[in-house]
Amino acid sequence: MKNNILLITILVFSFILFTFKLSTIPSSVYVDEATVGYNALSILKTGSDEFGQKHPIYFRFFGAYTPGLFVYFILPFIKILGMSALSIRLLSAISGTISVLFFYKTLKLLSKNALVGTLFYTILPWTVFNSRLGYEVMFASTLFNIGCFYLLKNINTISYLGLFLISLSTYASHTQRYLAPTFLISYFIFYKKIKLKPVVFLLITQIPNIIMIFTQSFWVKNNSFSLKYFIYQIITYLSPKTLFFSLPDIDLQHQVPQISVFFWWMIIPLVLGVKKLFFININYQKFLIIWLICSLIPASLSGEFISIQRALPLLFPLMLLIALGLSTNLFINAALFIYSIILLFRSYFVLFPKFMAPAWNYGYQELSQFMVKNPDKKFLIYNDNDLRNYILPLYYLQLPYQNQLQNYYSAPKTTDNYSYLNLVFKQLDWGDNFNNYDYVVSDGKIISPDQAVTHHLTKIKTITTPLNATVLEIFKVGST
Amino acid sequence: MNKIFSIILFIFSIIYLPPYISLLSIIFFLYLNNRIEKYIPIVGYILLFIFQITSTRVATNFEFSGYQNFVHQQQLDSYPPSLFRIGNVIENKIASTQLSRFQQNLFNSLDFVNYFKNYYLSLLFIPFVLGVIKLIKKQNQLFTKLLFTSIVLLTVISPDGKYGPVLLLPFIANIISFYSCEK
Repeated sequence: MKNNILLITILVFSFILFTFKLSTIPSSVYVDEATVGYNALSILKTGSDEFGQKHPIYFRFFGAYTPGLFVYFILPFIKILGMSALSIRLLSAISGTISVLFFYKTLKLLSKNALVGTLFYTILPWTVFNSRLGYEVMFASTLFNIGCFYLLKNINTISYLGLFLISLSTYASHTQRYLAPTFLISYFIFYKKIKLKPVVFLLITQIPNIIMIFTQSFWVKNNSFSLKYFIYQIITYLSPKTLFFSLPDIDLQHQVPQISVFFWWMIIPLVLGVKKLFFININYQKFLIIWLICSLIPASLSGEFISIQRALPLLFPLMLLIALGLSTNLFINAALFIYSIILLFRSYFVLFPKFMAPAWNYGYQELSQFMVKNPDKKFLIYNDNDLRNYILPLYYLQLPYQNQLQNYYSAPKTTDNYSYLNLVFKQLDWGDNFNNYDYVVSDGKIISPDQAVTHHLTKIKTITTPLNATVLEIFKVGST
Repeated sequence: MNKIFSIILFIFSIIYLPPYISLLSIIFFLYLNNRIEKYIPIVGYILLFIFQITSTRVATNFEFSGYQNFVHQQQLDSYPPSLFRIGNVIENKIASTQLSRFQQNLFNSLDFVNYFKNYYLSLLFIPFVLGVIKLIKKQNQLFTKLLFTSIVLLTVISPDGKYGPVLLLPFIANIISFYSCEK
């Protein structure tokens, strides 16, 4: 009874943590979130996505062909709350809260005291960051992790619910599409469960994916395999520096200042957790090891780039290991909790919205408002910093747009130039005839004062981040 | 068979090391295989310990550049006015730049990427992980204590000396051969 009350308290706390200032932290809507939101709205209004495809299985998003389950699941939120950062991000917050519950249930199978580990799982920078994103990573990860819980709970039989949820997760994210088969094959082999019934069951649940195998869209994320990069990726993801201190991720959007994915002190319980792993039930032990190893594979297959987001499946099993090594001393845990929550508050809620604003496409909301005030003017918007920025005015202004595409699932090639209504998006080219436009917008400081004078451009507005970094500059054409 | 494999791995792991580190690695290896007395690796370790300290400019560990001070000020300015005093305590005490420097030293010392940069060495990463697990499961008291001392020292003085974190290299070379090692 006491445990249940404490668990409910942790769940309420986690939901508050994942939804606190959700509209404003992250500080603006990132292109990946905007494309999810805009396409969801398009599905709601027309039944088709921005390329005119009726209810796609994979969404073409910038040529990525992302499995679409997340988009369909946020439709009710957009319908009820309208299009906003909150409505796009709320499903991740709910998924994060559910993942806390299932973390507790999974840890309970391995250890008597699961509450402390669950509390620390809740406040992990990795959990909090991903539970506040407006795209699919936390949702897909949670589906997969719940599936793993049911397989672990029914380790001596076969849980069809577990198999179904793992299979379902492949319709939510690219990562799970690689992870699920790797994990399930290992699970069947190591637990000697290769039987006709579960295999047929899985094949039936995978029919939509099997159909898609014959299209280019299924293979867009396939990098050519290189053993060298595969090993380097594994070394990088498992390095204590990556896990506990700073991320080597090239994408600044994935970073939170002054913190990595786990708290730095967790390296100690991780070592102790590895030691304790050998004292738990051998079946559970084997399961956890398979889970850990398989979780690394999707991220390690991503070529030479480090993407901590693709390594998200590692969060759950690695934190289970850390939780096994946590102290049982109440005073130590209370002190660590207060210390960790201060670090989280500092990095995520204070520094992150300000320092990382440029990486989160900050400024396009203000630009969109400027466009609304100038409805008849023609805009040339340079996208040298982010080729995908065409989606942001579509999202903020909810403009009607459909770029009809033939052979939807076989057209992964994207263009760098976009135009709709009176807006043109392209890369900077000094050969452009500015006289065709009323305003030129540069993303970042790509037009110097001298170049502006030479080309008769007058800067009329600079949009800056809260730390005064210039993100967008608006020039009027033809005046001095 | 295990022993032979362990020796092969060990030789492979010390090929890329400077000769004096290889020598200490061999001393540890012989000790761990019950071939020599305890005091020999201790003496060797003390010499390497002195070498690590003398080849590192410890003072730089307590100096901060103009840019670092600028970022620190920006971090302080990021707090809303109502939380300014709390922000001051967090930035100057709980998560101060100096504490962050020590964390940086600790994790730069433990950054696997530094030790397995070379393609052939990277192939030793799996035996290394298995060796770490074996070390955690079945500790050798002296080996663990000296390893821990090295990590603490590098955290305080920084691993960015003239020759890098040499104090850890003999341990890494031995851990690679550990999982098939007896002791």
